Amino acid sequence: MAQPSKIRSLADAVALIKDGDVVAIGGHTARRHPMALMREIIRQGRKDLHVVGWNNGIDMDMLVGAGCVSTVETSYVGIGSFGLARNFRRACETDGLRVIEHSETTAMDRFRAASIGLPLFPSKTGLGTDLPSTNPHLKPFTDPFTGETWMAVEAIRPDVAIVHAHTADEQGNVQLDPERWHDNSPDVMIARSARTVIVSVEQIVSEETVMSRPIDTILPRTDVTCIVEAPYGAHPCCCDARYDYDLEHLGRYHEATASQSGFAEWLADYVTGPADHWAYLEKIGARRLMEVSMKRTTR
Amino acid sequence: MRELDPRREISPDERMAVAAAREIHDGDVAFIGTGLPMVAAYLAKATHAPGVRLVFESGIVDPEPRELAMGVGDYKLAHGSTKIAGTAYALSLLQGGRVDIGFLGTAEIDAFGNLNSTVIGAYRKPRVRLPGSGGANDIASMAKRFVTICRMDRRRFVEKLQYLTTPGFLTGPGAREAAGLPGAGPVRVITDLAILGFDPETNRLRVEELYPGISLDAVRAQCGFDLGEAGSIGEAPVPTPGQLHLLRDVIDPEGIYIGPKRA
Repeated sequence: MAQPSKIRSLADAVALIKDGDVVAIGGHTARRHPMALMREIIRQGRKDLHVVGWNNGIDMDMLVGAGCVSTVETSYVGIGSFGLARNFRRACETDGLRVIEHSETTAMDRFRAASIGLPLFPSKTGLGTDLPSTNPHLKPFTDPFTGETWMAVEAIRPDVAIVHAHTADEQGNVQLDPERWHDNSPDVMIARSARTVIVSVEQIVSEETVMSRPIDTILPRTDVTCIVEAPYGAHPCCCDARYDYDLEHLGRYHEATASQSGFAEWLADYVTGPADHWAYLEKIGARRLMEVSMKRTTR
Repeated sequence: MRELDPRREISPDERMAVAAAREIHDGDVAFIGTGLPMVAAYLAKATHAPGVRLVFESGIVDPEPRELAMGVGDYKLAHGSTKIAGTAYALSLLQGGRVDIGFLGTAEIDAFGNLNSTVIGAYRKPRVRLPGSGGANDIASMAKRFVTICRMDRRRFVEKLQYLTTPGFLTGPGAREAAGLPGAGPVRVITDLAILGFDPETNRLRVEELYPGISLDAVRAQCGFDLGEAGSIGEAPVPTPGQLHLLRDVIDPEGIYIGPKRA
């Protein structure tokens, strides 16, 4: 039976995130990060966040540079082929930013365990290395059946998860296009591990649309707190087959972050200057948005 | 085949791509990232290993990509693939012991093939904060064997890592088993000067092959630890005209990962 709409404005959704929260971020490297939500986090001036993901880039680097973050937890922060994540680098080298180090597997296992109600998940990664000495959630243990050594990865229950998907209906049923990465994407584990789940989507669709292809639902409404409509909400990251990376923009970002003052200008231009996501899209411009969509790869 | 430009010298990246391709056996399941390993894997598939099954970290299985991707999340990679899964699936192949070979780069490497991609300098007050493990620890822990590809210099080849991100042979014979690591560990380190392997008795790096015109002393001069006594040293593979044609005209015509600009 239909329930009240779960659609919220970008500002109202992000207001659910409090200073000091553990915030899990969907997407990976430069792919399908919830960038519109993250720009709004900066606009609202959130502080002291513990951000957690499994492979990150501009998303975390931008939040760190904007002063929203006290702890970064992931396996990787870098700007792809452009090089090091410079805000992240500065924060580690000069401000002693706390980093909880992971392999990709253990970073995912934190969410995997929580999403299926387990206290921990066993892994064969991190063993023998410095990762456990810089991550309190990794502890070697002995398998009671075989006597073999495994790494125990402690489950994480983030306060909030933010993810970006293709479509959702008003009820909060979230779908990916058939043309996509498969639904065992960690985004589902990330969302299902958290108490509050905010999903931005490219497009709101009808309930009939959802019911016409329920196999494409990655998160049913029971797993979702609210939905935000944010077309091109992953820009400048890519969004599966919908649009490609905006390499020009990523390059400009990487250049701007060479200095604190350069990044401050970039923030004013692209994040705090535009009042909301629509103003951001106007700033990027229809032409550029079409350009990253035109080369859309179809199979 | 187009006539190769005789003025264009063979670049170190091209040599390393050819040497890396040789490590892939026909029928292997190979776990691939971007950069030189992607180029090497496509070269192997186009030459001696048509049956190699490529797995990309993002979960693309066995594709026939039409162009090089800029990242593992690039949808271009999906062209011609037999399965589009997700990273959780790709990593599960590693954990399940189904991946034969993986490739890694590194900022630092020690004599046992352990790698650091986390920090240069003290961990709490780093001189350079690097990206971190990414999938490197996963590959080195769980692939049946792995190959490291990097340029050789004393700042990279160090006696002691400032952070051990990714396990090679750890402290030597038996250490991986004692730590509970399943994969057999590193088999080769491919550099611009020489191809290195590991002494089976000590698990320490040693020179196996030299590129023409490079002396053993030149290699030692670029290494911050003792490379031990070299046994019989072979000649590292020099790219053939056919391989160069594939690299320059088919696989990476824009010179994204290999090319004169990067020489």
